[in-house]
Amino acid sequence: MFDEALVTDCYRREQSIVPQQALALTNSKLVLTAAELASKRLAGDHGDHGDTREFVQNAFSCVLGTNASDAELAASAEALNEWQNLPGGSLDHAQAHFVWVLMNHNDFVTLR
Amino acid sequence: MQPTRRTCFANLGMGLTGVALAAMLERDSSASQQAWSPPNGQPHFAPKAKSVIWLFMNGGVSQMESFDPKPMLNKYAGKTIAETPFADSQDPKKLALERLVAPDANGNQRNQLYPLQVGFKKHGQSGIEISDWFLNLARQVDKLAIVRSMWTTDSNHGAQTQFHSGRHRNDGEFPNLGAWVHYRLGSLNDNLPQFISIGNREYWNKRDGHYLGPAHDAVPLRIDPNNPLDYSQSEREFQPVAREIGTNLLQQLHKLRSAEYPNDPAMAARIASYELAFRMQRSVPDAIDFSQETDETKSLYGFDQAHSRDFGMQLLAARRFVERGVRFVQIQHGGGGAGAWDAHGGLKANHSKNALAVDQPIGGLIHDLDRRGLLDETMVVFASEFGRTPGSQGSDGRDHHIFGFTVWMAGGGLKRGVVHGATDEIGFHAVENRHYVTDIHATILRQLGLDSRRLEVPGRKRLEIDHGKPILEILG
Repeated sequence: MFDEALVTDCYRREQSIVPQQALALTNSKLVLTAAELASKRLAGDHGDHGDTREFVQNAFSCVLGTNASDAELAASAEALNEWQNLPGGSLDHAQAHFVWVLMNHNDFVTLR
Repeated sequence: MQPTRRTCFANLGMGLTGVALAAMLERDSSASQQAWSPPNGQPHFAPKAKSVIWLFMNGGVSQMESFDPKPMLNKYAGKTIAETPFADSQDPKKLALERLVAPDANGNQRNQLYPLQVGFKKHGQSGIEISDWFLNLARQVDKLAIVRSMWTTDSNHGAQTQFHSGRHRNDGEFPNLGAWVHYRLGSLNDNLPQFISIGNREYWNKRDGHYLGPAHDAVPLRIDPNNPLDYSQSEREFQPVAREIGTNLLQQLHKLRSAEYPNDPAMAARIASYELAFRMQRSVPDAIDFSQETDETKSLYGFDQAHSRDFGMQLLAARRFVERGVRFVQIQHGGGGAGAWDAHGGLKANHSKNALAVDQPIGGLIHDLDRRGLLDETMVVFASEFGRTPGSQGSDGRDHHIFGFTVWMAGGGLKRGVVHGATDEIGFHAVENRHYVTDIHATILRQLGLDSRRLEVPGRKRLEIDHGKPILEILG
């Protein structure tokens, strides 16, 4: 479903965009589990469980390999807050949801 | 956009040649600027047809044992071509159009004539002869426009790609017909993919858009009512409201990035593909919910026989997609290796089995489209990458054959019950009204109201042969 590196073409990847890729990233057990594990590690590694801004910045850097802009930080912080305030919500859940969003980001699946 | 190692090398490699080339491209693009405008979803002129159902038989169907029977093969069976009155068909000048990729055990001349492996009869009011392997389809013969005079140039299965793009594989990679249609017209229904590919295409190039971009690749779908779409449900529990917050955030983040990279078509395509993916979670299962069809319709497509059920489901899905406004449904029959129809040996067993799988569903599709009034606006195309040799390969097979083969079309404003063009008496060369594969493209584009010259992208000059010529004699 995704584009493997081509052994006969200097490991280049062809680029494809099909809707099923979006569904796999959104709904697959693999991605949902990985998002949870990665968020735990991000929170643990950096010992910044409480600092939203730092968590977001670290997640951007780890998952997307870029820094978050101010606008991206603000939007992310707002969503984290909404998740946490859901009935049954928690910081852990919110952070896992956030990493799931980044794994669905165009920059996660695209090489520039 | 940030320069990458790859683009940096590419730019260096171009050097001074690049400067000259850039100047030429600039001139080329300004010359064609008048005619060209970005795609706006509208045809260039009044269309006769709205949609295309493109049936491609992977591997190469024998023209003689399907839609172009040749009794002379029986008369001269076992003789070498040189011993028959048709010896000049092997004149090297007549064979010069072949462009070889690499010498191979296949794709060679076969000299000893091999008799027809199946009988044939005249059918319908038109009295067109069709082989007994296609008796269901033969009942629809008065709706077909059969072109018996096709030729191509790649004597190996690269011809599969060539049939769709019009270019030999040694030339590079070029957009396929479906991609051009998608590029200009898009869909009549944004809840479904606009260009769908069903069935195996493991041997030929899997991309369609090429320089038009990945957004114009066909979306592959598997027709399985029990599992209509992979990952259409979350595989772990996920509160809908939490998911919605995530989806909204993702949209915001994508918008912020696309403002940063305004000229990135891949980004735009990815965003569109996300939106389509979520609509597809409802629309695809509905489109292939065959419980909405009567038993009579399902039998018509061959659902009640094991040998035709799979292909029948694909064709019924195609009709339902077309009813829902999908522009181009491309269906490949017969995967595995170079394609199921590639009968280098055991042609009789091979073709009779494959014909059994497709005959009932295709005959059913044409009948069904017609009775619903959809055939006039839907073009059905039946093709394979080439035909097969009049001579035998081994004791009981036929090799690849590029010099003469058959394609038929139906509906979309074409004449009904006509034969156009002819091969010689042993089915070797197309001799009357010869057509290269792009003439099929041109015919389809014309019926869809498209002018391929006005589709051309500045800086990507196409050759005359890429555009092809519409087959005017079969237009209604």
